[in-house]
Amino acid sequence: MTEFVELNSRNPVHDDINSYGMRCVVTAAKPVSADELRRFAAELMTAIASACITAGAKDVSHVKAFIEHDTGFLHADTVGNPDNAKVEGRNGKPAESFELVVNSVIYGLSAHAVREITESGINKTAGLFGLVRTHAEK
Amino acid sequence: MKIVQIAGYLGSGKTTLIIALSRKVAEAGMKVAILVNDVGAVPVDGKVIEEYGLTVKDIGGGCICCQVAGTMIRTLETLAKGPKPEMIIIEPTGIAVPESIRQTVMMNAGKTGAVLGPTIVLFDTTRTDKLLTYDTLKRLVTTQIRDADIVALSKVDLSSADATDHAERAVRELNQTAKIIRLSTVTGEGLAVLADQMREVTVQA
Repeated sequence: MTEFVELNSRNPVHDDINSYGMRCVVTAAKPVSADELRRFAAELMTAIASACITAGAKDVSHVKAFIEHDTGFLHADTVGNPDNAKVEGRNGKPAESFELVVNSVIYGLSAHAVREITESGINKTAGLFGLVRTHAEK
Repeated sequence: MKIVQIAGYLGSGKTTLIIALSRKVAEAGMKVAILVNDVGAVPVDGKVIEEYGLTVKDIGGGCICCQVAGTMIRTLETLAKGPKPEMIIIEPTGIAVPESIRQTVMMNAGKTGAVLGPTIVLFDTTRTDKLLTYDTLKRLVTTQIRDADIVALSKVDLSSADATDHAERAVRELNQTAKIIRLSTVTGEGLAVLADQMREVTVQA
């Protein structure tokens, strides 16, 4: 499931602010520890935020995500500075698969760019951690 | 059923504050529900708040200040008929115009039985110049501040005293009548005052 919402169609104060949200299931060949999941979440936030700035975003307004599996729930976000990613929540046991929801809201990039950067950030960061996106809906 | 709106630009700390305040208000014996509107239809904030054991209604698919205002009223009606909370905290999207939401709530007060509590707007003290610089951003954030009954200067634990003073002066220039409260959900500064304001203040339409 992916979502693309046109924010600036009716309200002038929404001009130039675009968002993209997506939900997927991520799997791993072997169980991923809570520490590793926290690192993945933080690096994902940083990857998306950094790419938005490189692409010319005026402001990383909010990139946020949550990771949920049978025994754990982590939520992550970053605002403004890509290096300020914060991860909180319940660790749980090592997980072989989890649901990932990501929401990027960016000022100064097109909706298309926000979508492409978010998708690319997820794929690249998952790859770095040996994770694979399996299907869109849990 | 009192409606309290906690607004503010994206990343200003609304969700974290709502989790902290809801607990304080609930501890004082009030039945609280939270209505969350996320940008986009894949909600994150509502799920995070639920994780802390709070009652949440999620509204996605657009902004409740304009695109899905009708959904907000139907949700308030459902809450009024069903769980009947004494207080509903509305967390709009970070790009919402608080006055639009206030007007929608008041125009439909007959259907929902709602009374209006204060409109609290968060302002991130770590980003004062950024938020008040770019054209669109400045217009939006300025509008949010002007619509506030209370401005909570957020993340003061991350700001120097000078930066917090700078933020307060900027806010005061934009809104001469709002109560300004310095807030940190990390240290707890300002939380008790805000919780008292939510319980005690009723705003006339």
